[in-house]
Amino acid sequence: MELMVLIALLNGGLIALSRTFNGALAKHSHALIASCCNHIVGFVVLSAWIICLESGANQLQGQPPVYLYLGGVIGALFVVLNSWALPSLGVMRCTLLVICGQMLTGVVLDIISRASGIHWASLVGVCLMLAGVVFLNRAKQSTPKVKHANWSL
Amino acid sequence: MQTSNKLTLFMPFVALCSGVLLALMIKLNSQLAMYSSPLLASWMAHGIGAITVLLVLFLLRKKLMSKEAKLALNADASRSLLPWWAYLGGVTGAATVVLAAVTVNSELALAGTLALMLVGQLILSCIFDCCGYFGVVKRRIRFTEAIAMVMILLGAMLVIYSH
Repeated sequence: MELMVLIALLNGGLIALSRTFNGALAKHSHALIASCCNHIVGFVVLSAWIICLESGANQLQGQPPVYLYLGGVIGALFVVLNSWALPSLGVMRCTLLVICGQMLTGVVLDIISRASGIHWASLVGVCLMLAGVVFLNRAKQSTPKVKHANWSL
Repeated sequence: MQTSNKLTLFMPFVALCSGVLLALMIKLNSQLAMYSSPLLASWMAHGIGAITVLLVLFLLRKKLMSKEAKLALNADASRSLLPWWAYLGGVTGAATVVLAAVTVNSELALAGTLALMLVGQLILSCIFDCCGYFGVVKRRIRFTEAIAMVMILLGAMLVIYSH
């Protein structure tokens, strides 16, 4: 159990690291190039991993609907937006805002699909998070001016 | 630098939108994983993502080229030197998928994994901001920001554990 807790914490750290790396790359070149590198490197690493494992589980069972493949397209766009915003927001602010967007969308998706009834606790959570975002944006930003040399295409 | 100011105001919105995209992506990818394994789903998502970005880069190559040329003119030497670790974002991203699959299938389950991952993210991002590691602009975390962080973390925990 302790080991799993440690792995999960470490995993969160890896996400922050990934975000920082992509942000650095975007600051240096372009958010699109950051997303490109991220996906190509990830693809190569995962390919090697899958080939090394050679487990039967890594095979498609049945034909998934085509729209499920859009996850990759959305993921590419996610990295572009994320690494575009990171240099001027800082890692902490960016992480917080991404978490908020993610959680709020999760709740909305649950309402739409009615996977589970809306619990009062998640409504309280949503209100707390929205209040947190307002608070965050009212807090005076200690952000130094970041030179967005090539923010637009 | 007026555009830069406007951008700084606009950026929180961009970050929030990327969170929306993240949730959609996770939803679609986990559905895809039901047809195979998390590893294969992530592999396909990375492949499709790479193709998408390459396509966009190809379509916009002329605009990017002219921008690049302009940039090269007034770029100082340090800017053109890209640190080697900046390319490693994909490695950590790939490892995330595999580690998440491990912890979701343990006693932690999805809720515990998500909650601990959020905590891990915030701890490391605070460290990066404070110490300015990996090319991050060094900044102090303000008291109000810390309160906002606690509020958002608490809210997220409530959402996660109410399932």
